[in-house]
Amino acid sequence: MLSEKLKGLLFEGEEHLNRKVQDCFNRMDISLITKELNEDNLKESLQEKIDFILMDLGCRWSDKKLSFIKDLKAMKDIPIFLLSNFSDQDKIIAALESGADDYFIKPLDENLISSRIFKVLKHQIEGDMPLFRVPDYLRLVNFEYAFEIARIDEKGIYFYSKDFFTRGQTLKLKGEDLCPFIEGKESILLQLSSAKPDLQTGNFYYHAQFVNLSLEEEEHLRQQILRHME
Amino acid sequence: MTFSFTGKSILILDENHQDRQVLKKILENVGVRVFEAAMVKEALELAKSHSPNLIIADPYMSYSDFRKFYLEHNQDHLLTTIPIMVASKAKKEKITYCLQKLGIEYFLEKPLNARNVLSTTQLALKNTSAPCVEFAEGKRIKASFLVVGSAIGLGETGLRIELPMKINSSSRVELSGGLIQKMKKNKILFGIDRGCSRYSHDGQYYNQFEFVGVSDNMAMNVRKLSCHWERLC
Repeated sequence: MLSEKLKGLLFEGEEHLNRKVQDCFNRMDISLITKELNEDNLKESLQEKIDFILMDLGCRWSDKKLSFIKDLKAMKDIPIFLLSNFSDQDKIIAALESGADDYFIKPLDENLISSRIFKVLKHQIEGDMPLFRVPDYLRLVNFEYAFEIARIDEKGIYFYSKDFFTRGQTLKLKGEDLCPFIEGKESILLQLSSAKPDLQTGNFYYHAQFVNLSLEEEEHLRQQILRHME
Repeated sequence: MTFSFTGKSILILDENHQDRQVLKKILENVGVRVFEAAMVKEALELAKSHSPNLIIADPYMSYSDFRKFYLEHNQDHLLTTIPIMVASKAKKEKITYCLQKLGIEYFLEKPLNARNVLSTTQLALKNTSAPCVEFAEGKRIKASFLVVGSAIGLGETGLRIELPMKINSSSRVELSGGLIQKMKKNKILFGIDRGCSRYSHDGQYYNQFEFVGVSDNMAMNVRKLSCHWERLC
């Protein structure tokens, strides 16, 4: 376990809320210092002994915050958490894709924060398992990722997951999974087009679009959907 | 092809009875089935039971009530797919920022006029009226994606795999591939060490997979296989 008190750095908080956020973390025995988001403070934060970084997405939002997250992650393996408002859902997804580890919605819930911070810090506290580098020719591994389809329309499927998928990737589904909506297809390709955080459960809601359906298959799918709707 | 309103349903949430009636009359004239509610609770119940194609709401009924409605709408998987259109006395330019923040695309300015109501409603319905099937919890279709990852590191307790996903759930998966075959197996069962995934680069994540029920033989295979490999920091 870490012997010292955890220390976090809050970048770019809303001034009137900084005190509240600091108090909240102090009650969890985590010290939190606040700094403006700029190049100098970024370099400084790399030198300091900081356990994690908090970044307020709601305050003075710009795409620079995303590049800041990417730069920081490229330079140092430090957990980055987001502070966010309910309406910042697109920003949350973009920031997670840039490398942020998790997010907290205001008003802050202390129990949730401490469990999520310790979950992310777990590998730093316990240390990584000793590993050997796998040679390139042996690296390819496959597995089946099970999930449940919550909605289907002509364009694609919608599903919930606790896991975070990067948007834009192509996913391969077994044809039999969508039977009878689509018949006679060995595999169905989908492209993950959108993601939305479910702020209450911490899950994500995804839309994946069909990419390899023929016109006949699209028409069959439409007929099946209409039949189900009846 | 002309757009048909027939078969579409719309829920109106507005505490102003007169405004509700005006909207209802315009929409029913073109064949829309209209549900109306003056209160948030009633609107949520109607939306859940009838799944309308669109909700038209006045946020100035009481902004806190509208926010409550919006929050519930966005958190409920049955409701979140129903688009919201705002009808308000406020000028659009004055509330554009609020609408954008809430992700609401469609706006109707009051006092209402039939032409405006129909053109905006048609636009909203056109963009969102693709037929779909919703599966309630417990009745959802079970499916699986074939995921291809890159095994970066191997140890006696497990593997570090790079994937375009960050695994937060704790589940068990069977891995296959060249590395697994080198361990003299076709498939090996792994448990996912949740919370141990870390960002790698460009939307890729390192995920920790741990052997389930690893035997002495397996540990020896791993040691033999990796004895000349470089150690990962």
